[in-house]
Amino acid sequence: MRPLGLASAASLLLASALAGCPRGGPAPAGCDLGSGPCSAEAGAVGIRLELSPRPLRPLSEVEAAVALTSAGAPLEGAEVWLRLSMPGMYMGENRTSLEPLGGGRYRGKAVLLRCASGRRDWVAEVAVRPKGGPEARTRFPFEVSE
Amino acid sequence: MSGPGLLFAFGMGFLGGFGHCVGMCGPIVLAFGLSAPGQPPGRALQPQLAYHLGRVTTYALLGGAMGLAGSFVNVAGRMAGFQDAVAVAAGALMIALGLAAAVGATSVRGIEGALSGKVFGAVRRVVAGAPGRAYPLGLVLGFLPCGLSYSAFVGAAATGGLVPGLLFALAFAVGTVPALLAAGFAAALASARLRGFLYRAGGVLVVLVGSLFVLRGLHFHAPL
Repeated sequence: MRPLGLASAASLLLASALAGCPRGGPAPAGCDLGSGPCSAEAGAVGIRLELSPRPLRPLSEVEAAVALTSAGAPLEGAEVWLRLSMPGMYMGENRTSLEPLGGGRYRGKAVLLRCASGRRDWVAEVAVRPKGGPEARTRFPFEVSE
Repeated sequence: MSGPGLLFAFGMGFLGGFGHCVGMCGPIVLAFGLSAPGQPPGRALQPQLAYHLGRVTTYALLGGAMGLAGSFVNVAGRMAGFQDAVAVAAGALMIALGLAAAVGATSVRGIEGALSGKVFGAVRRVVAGAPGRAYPLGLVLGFLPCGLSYSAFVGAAATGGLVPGLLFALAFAVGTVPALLAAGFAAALASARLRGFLYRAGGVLVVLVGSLFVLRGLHFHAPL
């Protein structure tokens, strides 16, 4: 394996090791992605996330639509990731990259998993890396329906 | 499938083994340990290794199927009912092993001998006998529903091919082995030394968790 490959793998492992730790900006109160889109401010970036189709069901594919703003204008050219996790329980790396659609909108597909214990509470974390700007993150808690 | 991708899958399994598998499936290997009282831990580990080999085989085949289908949701949706049945079967197995540990060492030996000695004996022969007997058990229990393995299968599906999907899931599965093997070794070590109350308490714990597995398989979810 090439040294660069090893470095990449080591970075991924480190990210995986940190995956169980809560991080990102504060979750917006009173918003449930299972009911509709949620919005939050993460630093200078406004993040709006919608998962569909609803109701959100385990073992199903969902479409994630993110709209970004900065200083009131659509934020273009950012790298955007969505990561789904369960609070307090490492469930592996369930992360997807969102593709830009233009106008500050980004879209991608993700898979909602199922916890064998019957837990239904998950967290959707959106990570945004604007061109030349600091990374911004925010987390949106939600519940899947059985 | 690239080297870093495989290393990532292995890392996810390795970290998840300690952060997820020991908590969720630790009682299964605890049951293995309790079912071999008096055996040297090294010898008690042989059927456990065979069990993990079976589990790894199933994970790899499922990963290959996911990669071939190119979709986690389609394959997982088709096997959800079977996985629930496996959860019930695993719970029943744990209940039998736990009861054998909890009841077998007490004065209720007569009842065990009359009613359930054959059942307990058969189950013990599978999990603590010749390693070859534990391999098929691992093959079946590899289908247990598990959120962590689902994440690996999503990755396997994303590879878009039979071989890369199989390799991705294989690397993940191998990564989960050290944590569960360590837990199984600790259980075997403890089982060889524990006597009386503590040994029976371990059996009761396995019975309780086995009951949870049965309830989960039947979709009666209890918090744990």
